[in-house]
Amino acid sequence: MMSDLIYKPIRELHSLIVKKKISPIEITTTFLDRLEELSPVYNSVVTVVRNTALEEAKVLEKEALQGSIRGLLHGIPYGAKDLLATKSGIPTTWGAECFKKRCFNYEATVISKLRLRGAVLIAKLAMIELAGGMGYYQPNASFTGPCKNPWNIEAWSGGSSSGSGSAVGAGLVPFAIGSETWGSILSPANNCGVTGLRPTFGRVSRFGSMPLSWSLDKIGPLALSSDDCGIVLENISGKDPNDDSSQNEIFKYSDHPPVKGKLAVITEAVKEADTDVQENFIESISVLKTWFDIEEIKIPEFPYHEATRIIMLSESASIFEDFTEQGLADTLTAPEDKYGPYARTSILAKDYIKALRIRKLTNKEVIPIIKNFDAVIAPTRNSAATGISENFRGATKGSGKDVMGAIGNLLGLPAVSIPNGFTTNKLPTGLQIMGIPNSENTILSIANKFQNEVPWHKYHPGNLTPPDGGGE
Amino acid sequence: VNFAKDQSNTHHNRSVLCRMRSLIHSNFKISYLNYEFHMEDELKFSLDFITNKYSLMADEEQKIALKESLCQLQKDVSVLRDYALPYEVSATSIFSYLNHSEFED
Repeated sequence: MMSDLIYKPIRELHSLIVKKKISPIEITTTFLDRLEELSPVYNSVVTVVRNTALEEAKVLEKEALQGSIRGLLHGIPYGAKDLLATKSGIPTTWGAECFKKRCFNYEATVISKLRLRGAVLIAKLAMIELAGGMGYYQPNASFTGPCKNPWNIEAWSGGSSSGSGSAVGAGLVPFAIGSETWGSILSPANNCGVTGLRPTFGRVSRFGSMPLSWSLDKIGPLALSSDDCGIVLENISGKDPNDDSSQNEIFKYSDHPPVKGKLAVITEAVKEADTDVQENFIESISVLKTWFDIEEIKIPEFPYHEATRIIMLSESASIFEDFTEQGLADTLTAPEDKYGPYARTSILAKDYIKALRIRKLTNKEVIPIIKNFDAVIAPTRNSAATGISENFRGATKGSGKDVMGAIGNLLGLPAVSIPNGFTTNKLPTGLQIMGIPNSENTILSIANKFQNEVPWHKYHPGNLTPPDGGGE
Repeated sequence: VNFAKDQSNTHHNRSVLCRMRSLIHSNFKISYLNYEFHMEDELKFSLDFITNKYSLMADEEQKIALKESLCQLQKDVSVLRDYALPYEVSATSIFSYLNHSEFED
């Protein structure tokens, strides 16, 4: 195993491949071996895809030897949340016991795009059953068991892209693909000390991905840095005729300098956070103040949480209608998920439509306020990772409120979460940078600046870091 | 597994009877003038409806938890209903306002 490849950024791995210092087969084998050895400790993987990965790596190796490189992802291994359809007999389980042997004869657009760009799928990663859509409130809500945090196996990885956060944080994959309806990329990024990017709604095709809510679902990367996230986003975004919501615009990643030099803080998004989280956030502000004016703002009062919840519950009631009527919820792992889908079947059409109308008005009122700034910043979550057996909804003060998450997901806004320090219990915390629709280059460049100045993202769990790999 | 079909008419009839009984015993006052229940009536109706509909799929403990879920749902719904909106505000899809280049950076 070539341990010096672990925790290396994509550009560095790419450079080693281009210079023929490592081959796609060597790098793929290194990560496959590491996955097989360590993933059972963390419950972070559903299926390791050794054979197809090595076949693909062989083709990529031949191309590399001929000097034909497809791009920055040529020969780079990755993992995908197990809600993205894969063919070739690789199961797609959605984290649910009743689907654990289910195989599709087509694949998700994201998987096809990454293959075309030379990335090698080496694992389907663990997730909360049905992406957490049945209302789970504790980590043991997946048929693969509770996914553990690379910083402390007694702590939770976050969800629902649990394996994506945990595997990147443990150095089992250079990057991973996750999805977010509300919090499912940013929460594992926060808990596992990695960088997670929730793209603008419609940036990335959802074709072949398990739907939870048609108007809220987004797909995005979790990686070791914001630069890695930008590289991956460029390779997975774009119009897809199979997904009506996908945007026409082509996303070209560039370190786009923020133009206004102004950041906003929504007061309400900070005041309920734990003390350690607040202190790390204040430290982050002191770093960002080098380049930005930072202004505290108030946003108009809208029922953000209620509208987002009603939209998600109504759309998921329709998506999972057959599942619910057939009594399949009873096969789910978490006790609370077994009855989770029933209450939402009573939502009236007029209430769903009211939520959509509120979304429209919110968009009209809130976007112009955010537009005065390069981005809005806040702690990613109110707390660091909670315990592996803990009810996370009641574990910390204010844990039920997620103003940034409610607004961001309701309006389809992009956000990146980057590590910004540790708690006294040595668990990572995150800084969230959220922008207006399609402002990924702006928020990523703010994150890049931060990560160049204070490289919290280069800290990795000591027990997982190879010698000379720069651990904690 | 097609649970609903396996239970066929027996389940259906039982469900209809249960719902009728619940309605009879719960003193529902439905106003045909405004088509609105009071929220507490609506919660009771929803609870009866849901627990009867899924009576074979949820045990007693789950039905109690289900009531809590419904209460939370009713709270959310009440907040939305209390939020006054002019009728000009339609329910335009999120797709339509994001799928253009106005915001491109």
